[in-house]
Amino acid sequence: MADAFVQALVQGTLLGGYYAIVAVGLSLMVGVVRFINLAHGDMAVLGALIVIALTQAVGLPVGLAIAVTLPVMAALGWIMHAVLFERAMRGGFLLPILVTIGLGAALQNGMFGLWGSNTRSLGADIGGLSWASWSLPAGILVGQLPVLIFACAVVVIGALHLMLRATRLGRAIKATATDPEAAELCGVDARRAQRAASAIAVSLAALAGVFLAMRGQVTPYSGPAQLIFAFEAVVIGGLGSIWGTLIGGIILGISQSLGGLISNQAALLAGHLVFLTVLMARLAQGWRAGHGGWRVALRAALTGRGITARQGQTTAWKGKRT
Amino acid sequence: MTIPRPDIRPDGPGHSPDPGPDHSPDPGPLLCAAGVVKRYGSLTVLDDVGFHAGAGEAVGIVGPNGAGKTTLFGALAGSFPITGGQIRFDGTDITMAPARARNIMGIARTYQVPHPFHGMTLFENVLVAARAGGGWDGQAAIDATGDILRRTGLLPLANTPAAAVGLLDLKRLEVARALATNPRVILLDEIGGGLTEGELIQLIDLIGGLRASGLTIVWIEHILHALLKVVTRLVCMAEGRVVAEGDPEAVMADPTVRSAYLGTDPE
Repeated sequence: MADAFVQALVQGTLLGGYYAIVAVGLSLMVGVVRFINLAHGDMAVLGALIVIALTQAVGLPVGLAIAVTLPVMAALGWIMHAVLFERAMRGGFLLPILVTIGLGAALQNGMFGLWGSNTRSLGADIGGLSWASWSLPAGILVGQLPVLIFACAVVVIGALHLMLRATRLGRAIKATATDPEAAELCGVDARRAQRAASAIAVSLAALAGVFLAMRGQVTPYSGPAQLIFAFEAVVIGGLGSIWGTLIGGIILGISQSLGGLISNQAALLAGHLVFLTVLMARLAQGWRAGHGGWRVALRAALTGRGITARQGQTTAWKGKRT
Repeated sequence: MTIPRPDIRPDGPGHSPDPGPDHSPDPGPLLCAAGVVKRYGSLTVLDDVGFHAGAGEAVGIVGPNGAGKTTLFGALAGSFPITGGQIRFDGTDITMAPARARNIMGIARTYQVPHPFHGMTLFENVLVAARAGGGWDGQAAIDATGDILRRTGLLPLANTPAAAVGLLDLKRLEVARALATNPRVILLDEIGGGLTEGELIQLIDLIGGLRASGLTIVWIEHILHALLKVVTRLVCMAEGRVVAEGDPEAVMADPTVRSAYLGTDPE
């Protein structure tokens, strides 16, 4: 029993690496652009299916297919932001939601039309990596692929963190996240920063999709489930926090793998319950802090930061883009 | 991320001096607004406002609350499109130019309510502006940022997150960030409010120093004695119009100005 428990903890932690990669792009979009892309999961699946097509139909090696796909997806993210998201954001609160739900539906059915509804996997294309594992003392087995994905998550998040902290583009992105209007007045091209954030987010989604296809299978309709996991990881870790997504992902992964000890069905349920518990606890905290009403309480719950002076900003920049 | 920018700032610390004087046939005022109208629905906030500031000039703007002073700044800095009128900067029509383009041309503004980038240190706040708006790169940007922090008295707080500093330092940060964009004209919106007498003297020294360095200053301020130490011309606004302008003492003695202050809309 203790063995199974430790094994579940280890597997859950490694699974958290995958969730972190899906979630970090979403977190970047929400934190920087204040834009919720509900097609994020579908972007992940699109990236996966492109890599699968390049590998299985065109015959490229997996690594090369990934190296080709990620920049293409980044460009797609940039273009989508320029032609779609920017306009949607000007249309108020509801429009981005409708637009990205519609985009998700279009992507799902487009992928269905192009590739059919078969489940597809990259598992066969990565050789022994998909099943190879290391055995640790006390009979614990860790799969090499999950370890690779987890390491990749740490590298991606670390690189993103450094990029945001130490590069010119990163600072422009952060400044735009805090206050697009003030950023523009500092000479920062807020639009460009947002498009860049969108490009990064979409290419990271594609990377996550590729890992998903390596671990298991994808179908054109796998996207929404990935979006939900990403959202849960983002909210558990604190909206807009980059390292928080890794922590959120790990918490989600551990909850699911511990739930999995009870029964297969309990795995996902446990994840959702932990997510709801975290959200409710923060919401209750927000209510106790009082002032500001439900919007502020909800915002505090989502960001996990508590109620601070930041609350004024979201209202200040609504509809400010001209 | 390099931004193509016209090198039009002879007096900027990061730029080589301009080889010659202004080449335009009629230099005119550096910043000039004519017939500016701004309406929000049926509410007219700016009603046919004319404004100008010459190169190196320091202009004060006074007026009761709701007179449209901050809205005029928004119109000059490009925070929103105006309903009517024209704005020119250095002989160029900038009426339709977005805020960022105007900033790169050399118009900087501060906010009455500070808008810092909370998650960053003061140093990073200013560095963003120095890189993106000021056109400095690498080490030069870092040096310029340090220099500006020293001039604005923020150097001891350089590595403090903006979320952790008080209002007065945030107001200084507004000035520092505006300066870091290497402006030719700086629009200061009530940066003296809430300061103690000692701090006010420091602030006046700072702004006087900026003026002496050739920067054009437009300053909205309720604290008249501070304003009058720096500005050479005063504009008084009330109810969206310019009601008086000219020599500061003459403006303050003007009966319309007095009624604007003491009449229906007292401070």
